[in-house]
Amino acid sequence: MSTPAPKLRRFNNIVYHYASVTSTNDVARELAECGAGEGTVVVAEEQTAGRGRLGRTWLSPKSEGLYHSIILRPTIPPSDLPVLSLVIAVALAELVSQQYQLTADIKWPNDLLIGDRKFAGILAEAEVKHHRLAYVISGIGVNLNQTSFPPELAAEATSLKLETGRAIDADDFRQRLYVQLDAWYDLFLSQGASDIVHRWCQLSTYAEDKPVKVVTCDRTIVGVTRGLTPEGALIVETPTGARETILSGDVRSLRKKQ
Amino acid sequence: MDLKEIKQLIRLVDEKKFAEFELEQGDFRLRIKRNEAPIIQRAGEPLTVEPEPLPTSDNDAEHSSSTAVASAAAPTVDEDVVETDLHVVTSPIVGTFYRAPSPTADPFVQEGDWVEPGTILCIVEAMKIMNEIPSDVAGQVVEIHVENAQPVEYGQPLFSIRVGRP
Repeated sequence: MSTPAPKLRRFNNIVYHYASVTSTNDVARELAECGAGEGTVVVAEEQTAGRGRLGRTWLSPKSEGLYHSIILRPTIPPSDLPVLSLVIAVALAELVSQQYQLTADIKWPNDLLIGDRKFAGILAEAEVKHHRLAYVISGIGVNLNQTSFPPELAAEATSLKLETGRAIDADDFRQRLYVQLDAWYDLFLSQGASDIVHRWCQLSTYAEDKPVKVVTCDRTIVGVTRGLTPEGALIVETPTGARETILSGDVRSLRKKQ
Repeated sequence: MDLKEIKQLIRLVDEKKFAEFELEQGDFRLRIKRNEAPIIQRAGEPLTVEPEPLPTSDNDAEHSSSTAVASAAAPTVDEDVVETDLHVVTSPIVGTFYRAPSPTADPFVQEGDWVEPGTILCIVEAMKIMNEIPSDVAGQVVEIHVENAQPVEYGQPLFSIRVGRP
């Protein structure tokens, strides 16, 4: 790396480093319940029960990836929180594009891809007490140095080492991510959603004209993406011309027929 | 006891969140009851569960005469209290309601379960942010208003909890 070590403000002042944990989100939550402040970080060499959305697992083999969680305490109403998903995705995409000369894509809302393969995922868990946001645990898993994946993931997963051909230092990656995150999180807190949503749409091929299948909790929607709402929800136009607003669901890219 | 002192007491009762306060001095008897939010459900309207603050305006003290108070033998500060011990937990955001941390896991709570303040009741998801909703009160879950994995609106009732202990 030719650039000097970046200066950090909000994050990384207090770092809990573990050899092995069930999930960094679980540890961070315990710390947050005990009053740990904004920017507190939990890093682990491996997770024995790394989690994704709806109880899915995040494969976390020892020392091959970056597994960490950040405690945030934004003073915003809970209804403004969903955009935080996009804030973290934008920070990761910009870092990977600038630092490693890769073209990172973002699948709504916050899966990080290179081509069609996922290299980073985010799981944020918020605690809302008396309609007030107490804290948010942002778990960020990044595939850094994996050189192979189990057969069931091989077609869908990649790592930065596989993409760049060189080993990635986890601590260096983490520090650089915090610099990006600091700037975007500041913008989010001071200006709200609009700049974040705008930048997300520039970085993601899923923002416009993408044929997708979306599986939500109660139905499946097939259509073409038509941007995001000001709050960051995905707009999908169905073949009948109806526009659906997606607030939660699994998005898959459908290839256009030749 | 003059009006100013009574107002100070009301303020104290409100701040300390006493449910009820009673004071007797000779013939003088004062009873202050804190009006916990009445839970009235109107269709399509978010529920409010915030306690209404009791009047604490200092101006009132200036305009009122203390003789008026002295003539009132037992000035109760009872407002229109709706007698209910049912606490309704509402959704803080628009999202998807989940009763369990994952599709294969057991629900956080069932109807009939006793909960404490802080017991996680459900998750409401929006854009992959999982919002855990803890109970505000100790009590028994008497009704779960929403099916698992259904969309919920802001302010929509999720749980009714009868406040109390087993």
